[in-house]
Amino acid sequence: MNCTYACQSAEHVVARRRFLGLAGAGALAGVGALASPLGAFVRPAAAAELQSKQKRILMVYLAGGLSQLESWDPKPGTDTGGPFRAIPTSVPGIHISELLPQTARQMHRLTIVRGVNINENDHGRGSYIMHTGRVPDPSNEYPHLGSVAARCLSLENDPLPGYIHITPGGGGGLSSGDAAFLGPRYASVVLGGGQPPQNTVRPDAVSEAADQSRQAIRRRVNDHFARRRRTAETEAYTQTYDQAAELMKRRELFDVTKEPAADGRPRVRPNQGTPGLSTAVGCVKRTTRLRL
Amino acid sequence: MIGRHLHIDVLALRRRPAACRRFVAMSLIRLAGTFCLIATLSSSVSANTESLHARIDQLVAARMPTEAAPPATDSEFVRRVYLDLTGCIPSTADARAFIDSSDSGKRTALIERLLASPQYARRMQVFFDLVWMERRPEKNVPNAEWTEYLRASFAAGKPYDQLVREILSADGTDPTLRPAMKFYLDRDGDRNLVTRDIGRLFLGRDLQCAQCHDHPLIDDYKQEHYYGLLAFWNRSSIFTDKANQKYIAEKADGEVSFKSVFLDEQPRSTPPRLPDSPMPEEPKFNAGEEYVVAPADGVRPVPKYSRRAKLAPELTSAERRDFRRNIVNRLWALMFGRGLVDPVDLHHAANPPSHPELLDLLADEFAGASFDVRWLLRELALTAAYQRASDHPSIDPNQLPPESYCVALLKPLSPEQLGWSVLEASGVSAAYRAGVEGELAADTKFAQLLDADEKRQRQRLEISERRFYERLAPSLGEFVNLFGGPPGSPAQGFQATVHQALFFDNGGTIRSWLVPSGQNLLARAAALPDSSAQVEEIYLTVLTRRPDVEERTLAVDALNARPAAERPAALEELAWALLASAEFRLNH
Repeated sequence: MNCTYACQSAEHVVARRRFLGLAGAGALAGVGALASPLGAFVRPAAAAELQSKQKRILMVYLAGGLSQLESWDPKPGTDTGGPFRAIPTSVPGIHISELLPQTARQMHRLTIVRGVNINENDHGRGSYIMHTGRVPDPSNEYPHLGSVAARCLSLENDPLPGYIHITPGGGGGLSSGDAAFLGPRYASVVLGGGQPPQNTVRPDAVSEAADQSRQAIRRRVNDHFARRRRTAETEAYTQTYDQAAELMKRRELFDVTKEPAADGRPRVRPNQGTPGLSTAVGCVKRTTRLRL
Repeated sequence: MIGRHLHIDVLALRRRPAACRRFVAMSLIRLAGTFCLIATLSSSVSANTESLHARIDQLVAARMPTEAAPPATDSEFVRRVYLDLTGCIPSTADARAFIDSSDSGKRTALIERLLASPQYARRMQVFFDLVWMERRPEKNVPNAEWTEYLRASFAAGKPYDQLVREILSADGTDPTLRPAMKFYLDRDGDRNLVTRDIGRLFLGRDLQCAQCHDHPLIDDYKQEHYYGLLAFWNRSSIFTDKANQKYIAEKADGEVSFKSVFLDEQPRSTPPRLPDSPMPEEPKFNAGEEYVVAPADGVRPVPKYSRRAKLAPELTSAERRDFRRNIVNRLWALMFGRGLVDPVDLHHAANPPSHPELLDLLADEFAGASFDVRWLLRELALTAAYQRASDHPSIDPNQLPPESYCVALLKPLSPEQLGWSVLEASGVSAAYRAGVEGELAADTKFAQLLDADEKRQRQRLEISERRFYERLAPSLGEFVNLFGGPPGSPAQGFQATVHQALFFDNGGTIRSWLVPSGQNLLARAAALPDSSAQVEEIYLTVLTRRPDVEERTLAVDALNARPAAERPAALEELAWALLASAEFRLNH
């Protein structure tokens, strides 16, 4: 899917592509926000290879998003259709809201699914259905789309999380519930407000050798405990340390200063708040809302 | 919040053979349990003369599909019971003394001692604050006043029903009960939020779906239940006087009507009415005579008949078994890691308790014991079920249904338990305790209390604990942020995140706590004469157990392989590794 960004800069398009190709992100979900340029980190050759083979999913989940009547499924001239008109698009026969004139010109690149009906009044349950394709069932938890994509699309030995979830607020972490029976390996890593995770740098006071030594003891203690008490909890907890180690190795991925400055503009534009991922997210989010 | 329901979808089971097999297996286990139960009940008709904990064990045993695990070791037990009853692992000295004691009554004595300690009241404060306020941000009632109100209530052994009555009826006119208004005030008096949370937290029924229609999947949850509950609060609102003091005010009029969003029906109305209660008679007053204090600008109105005042006595009355079942189920879940009804806020006919007769027994005995939380927790802690090992000699615990209680379930530490336990293990707590004790000893007024009578000694213990708590509690902020759930929703199950691991790996907090100083863990360990003693000190302090032979040999060899200059670093690596282990993260 090609999005038309408001600024049309190569930076937005290219860097995001590289991120999607290289981060091992099987899926990237944003709630009320969109993924963003993450920086020209490493391995352009690998990027090319991945781009040619790998499919990625970008899921933009607008909780409380815009109405379908003012976007993809206008019903002009009806009681509930609202005041806006429908306009033709680049695909004959498909009309969308007049509020999306730019998108209308790109319609041949898009697919609208108008037949979705969750038959559900409760927002929480509806959201679960949209993320899992399943009606909530307390005796069986099902993985979210992103976790399924992480399981099926991310590379076999890719150390990085296969599912990155950018939330608009603070917080952040790993939502082990997302992955259900697929296990915490495929759970989303949450970047609250698009910020990189904290504590990704090993302090100078801890040498690499010391770290390896203490991690080896930790693993041994865990094995001892799990001999007769291995549960989902023990597995989830111990796996987070493996994931932390891998995230640390690739932390430059989250460093906005390593983004390309292809068109000569400053990497972080001054009027867009704190540097970091959120800067870019904020920019793209605005674009998302007005000119999807 | 994701809605939940406990509806067994037969079609879904047909579609999913694995789920179906599990369902059938569980049914058979339950059925087998029922036969055993009949046998047990007929052979012990005179069970009523027995202690509650003995009767609990009989009812649990009656439904066990297989042999129970043996009792937990002393190490496992002492760690578990400290965490459950005081919210923190034991100190090294306490752990060593308990494990090495040959007194056959030591478990019972320990339970008594912990329940009498100031730390027990603190633990209950933290637990009930989480249950009732769910980490909502501080709004109208300062957290410090609310938590002190809770702590003092549990320290004094205030009956649970009285505590709930205070919380649900406080209106600000009694200054001593102002903190109790937090339940209403920090929800901004939002009528739907208040309604939902009263149903969920005090009756164990999440009626949220019934706000707009009868619950689509739970037959027992009706829209009239929701609005019957809402009608108690509907006429009330928050009133702020000129001194900026908040009160709860109430009008004498305002009816509640509702209709299903699904149906084209006439609106129905309901008086304040708890689920399944009879229709109440409400007094009528002539126009102009409804108020004790009539509404006026800047005046808090007081009606002659208060709907809200009826809620607390009705909810806590002897007729409301659901009120009792809700709280004993939550306290059971606190001790056993899972409610007899699970989830704890979905009590309804299609989600029956795993042990119905046990839930009713607990509920009625608890009421019979004047809603004494300490008494109930003592009985639960005394059961063989609570004191079982968390591993089974012959069966993989994952193969056992969690509600069989054949093995003790693993319980993730709450953020507070984890934070306090890291502080205790690293030796930070001991240093702060010593600091507070030093101050109190230097203060002649408190020094006198040392040899005074029991009541004053107790007072002294509480003062000491409070100073200690107030100084160190701010250190827990990071743990709550990283390990706690989102505000305003029920505490989730176990959430392991990469951020937690990064915090242990690289964060400055834990590293600074481990720097050898004074009598803290690593300073103590470094001063010990040989590697074996050092390893033992660290294991006993962090994991509340001695290393087994294999662990000891490995750790001693690893230490001895390092040059003397690297010894302190090697000890730190060991301590860190134990703190970061799954064994430390879980109550087992």
